[in-house]
Amino acid sequence: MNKMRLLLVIVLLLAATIGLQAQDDDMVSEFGAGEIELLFWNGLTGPDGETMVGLVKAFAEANPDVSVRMERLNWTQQYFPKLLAGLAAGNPPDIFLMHEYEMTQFATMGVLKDLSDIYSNNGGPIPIDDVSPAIIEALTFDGKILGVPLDFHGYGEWHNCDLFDAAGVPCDTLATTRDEYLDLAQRLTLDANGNNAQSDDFDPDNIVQWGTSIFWYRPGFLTALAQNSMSWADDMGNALLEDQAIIDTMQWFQDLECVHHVAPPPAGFDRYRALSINMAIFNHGSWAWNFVSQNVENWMALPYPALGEEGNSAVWASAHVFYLPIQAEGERLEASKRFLAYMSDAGLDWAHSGMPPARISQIEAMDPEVYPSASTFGANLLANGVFDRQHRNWLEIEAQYADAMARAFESECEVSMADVFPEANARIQRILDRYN
Amino acid sequence: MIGRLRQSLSPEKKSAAGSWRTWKWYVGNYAFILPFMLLFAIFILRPIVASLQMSFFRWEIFGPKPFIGFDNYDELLNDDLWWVALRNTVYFAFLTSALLTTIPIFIAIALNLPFRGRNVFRTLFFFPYVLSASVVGLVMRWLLGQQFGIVNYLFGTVGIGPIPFIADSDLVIPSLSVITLWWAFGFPMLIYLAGLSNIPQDIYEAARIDGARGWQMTRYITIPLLRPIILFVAVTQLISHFQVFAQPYVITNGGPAQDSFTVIFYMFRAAWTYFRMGFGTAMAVLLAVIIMAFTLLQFRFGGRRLEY
Repeated sequence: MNKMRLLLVIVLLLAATIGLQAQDDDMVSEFGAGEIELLFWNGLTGPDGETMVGLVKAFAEANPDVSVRMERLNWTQQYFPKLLAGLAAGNPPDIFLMHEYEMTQFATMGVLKDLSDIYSNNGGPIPIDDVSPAIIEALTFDGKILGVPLDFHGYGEWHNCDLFDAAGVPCDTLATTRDEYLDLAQRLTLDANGNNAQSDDFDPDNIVQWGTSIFWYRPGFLTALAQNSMSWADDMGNALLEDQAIIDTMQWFQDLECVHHVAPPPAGFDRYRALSINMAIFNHGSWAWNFVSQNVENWMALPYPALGEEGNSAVWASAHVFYLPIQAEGERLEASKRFLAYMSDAGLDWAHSGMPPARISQIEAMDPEVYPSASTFGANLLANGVFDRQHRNWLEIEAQYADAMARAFESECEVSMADVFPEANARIQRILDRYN
Repeated sequence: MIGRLRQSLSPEKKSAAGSWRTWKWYVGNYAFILPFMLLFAIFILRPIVASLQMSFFRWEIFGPKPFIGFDNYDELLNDDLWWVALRNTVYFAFLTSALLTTIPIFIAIALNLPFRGRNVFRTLFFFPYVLSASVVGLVMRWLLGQQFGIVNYLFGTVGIGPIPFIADSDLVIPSLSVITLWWAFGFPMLIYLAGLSNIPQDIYEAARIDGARGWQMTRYITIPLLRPIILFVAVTQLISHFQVFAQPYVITNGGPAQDSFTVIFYMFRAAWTYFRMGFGTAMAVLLAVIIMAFTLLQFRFGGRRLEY
């Protein structure tokens, strides 16, 4: 009997373990039975991945000679090591998705296929005039266009209208200066007694509703730089994070938490997501559509406000981009190009994930009733979207400024931006010098 | 037969026959270890030499591979992130090794006592060791999460917390150590159980006759006789936990800020995210030297007066 119990315990524990490990299987999908087999890798592990599953399935149905195996991997931890190993070993996927800012690093290595001929100016099916010139420029390396954009996503504001109502502020209120933004955030921040952050009786230790948020640092940082016509480096290869204007700009954001008590302390993704339902202004990107629409009853998507130079509405933008490996050839290359053209045409279907499409005509065709956030963000990004500066070691550079901000924002107000930016600047300068 | 052969041979011939027999003896013995040596040379020695060699080059997998001498080491020693990573690694390695060297002794002693269900407990205590790092990471993130974690929920029912186990700068390394204790506990426990079974029972009987009781026997018989095993566990644990990677990688991603950023994590990031293989292998070489130094110190101070 004892042995039976022991066996039962072991079986249950093993089943639990296998159950956990089987979660990864959801990240692999196979469609179609065609003889031309394509392997497609991406990092769409969130709800947007489900939308992509639908698109790939539709492609396989429309192209019966092709079958597609799609594998989704965590962007930051699994995707790039696996992709690099595949490229180095000469066994990469047929199609892979990255952002535009990662392209230069791979382009410098010479591992990306020239896709210029997929665009209409070279006789291809994708009308080049229908793609934002800013995206085309970002995807051009040594005169060749190396990718096909899937979307045109970026930063914005999500308003929780119930929390705006609770503070007596109209939900569509959008600040146009830093002072206005602080005033708005203070009026929206409420303590347990219903006092807002402008009240003398306000209790900062007992906040039940936050006015605003500091979430993913990079989009906020790059947007702030763009709105002040600044950058983390200049064209001469000088790192610029020691610039007092940059430090002051980012300190203003930290002060929202540490001085004005209108934003909660950033402390990890899970905690912040949990808190986000108590944030009147949730600063996030177009990709937050699924989360917001599922967790907030009455919400509104608005363009990111201009908080820098007067009239400068620049906002950080990015794009998911399809790339092919340099080795691609023959019928698999032809099938891969068909896949890319199909995905480019299916931008409005992809926009159901909340991501604005890459094609201008598709952005303009979005019905706000059907695409309530993507249409707002898409129009703003088309007009004001700014891509990050590219560099052959962009990933290493990004880690320096992102880590610096994490050290400050996550220090419980003990570390200021002036403490971390000079150090990050020195590191970025070393990276820049390595290639100058 | 051999005796007769020897008698019939001249001294020179006898010497030649001896050499031949000695040579045959060596060949036979080396033949037995040859499979291991071959595998060792291919999968251990060759990568070690290649890593050492690679650390003197700027190699980014694709493109040219210029020789840069000690530049990678120079950059590393002037890199504040390396020192942050090393500090975190040393803290984690010593704390975790201390926990995993001491606590399993007492559990092993308890599980060595005769009682019903002993094997069930031995199996249960060993079970976490067979889990993969990703499973442990997922489970612990669910358990220790500040908002939705079960541990904080239970603490909350008695008015404690929530405690930011993996989101607080001061708590993150101790939390990762305790997670590792739960996960890796089985191996040292098993080693100690094997060591305990080798302690002759008559020593305990003699002590009992002399009036020794429970704790006295543990203090003056069990632990001294386990000293070689304790040294083995301490050395292997320190070596193992200096190479910590999976726990911060899966559970904290090196955060909050860089408070759980470790050397192997940095090495992985340098090599596979920044594509700087030469710089990454320089880190590996330096870490190997540091581990070797600590291991020698352990043998120097822990290996004295061992009773075998």
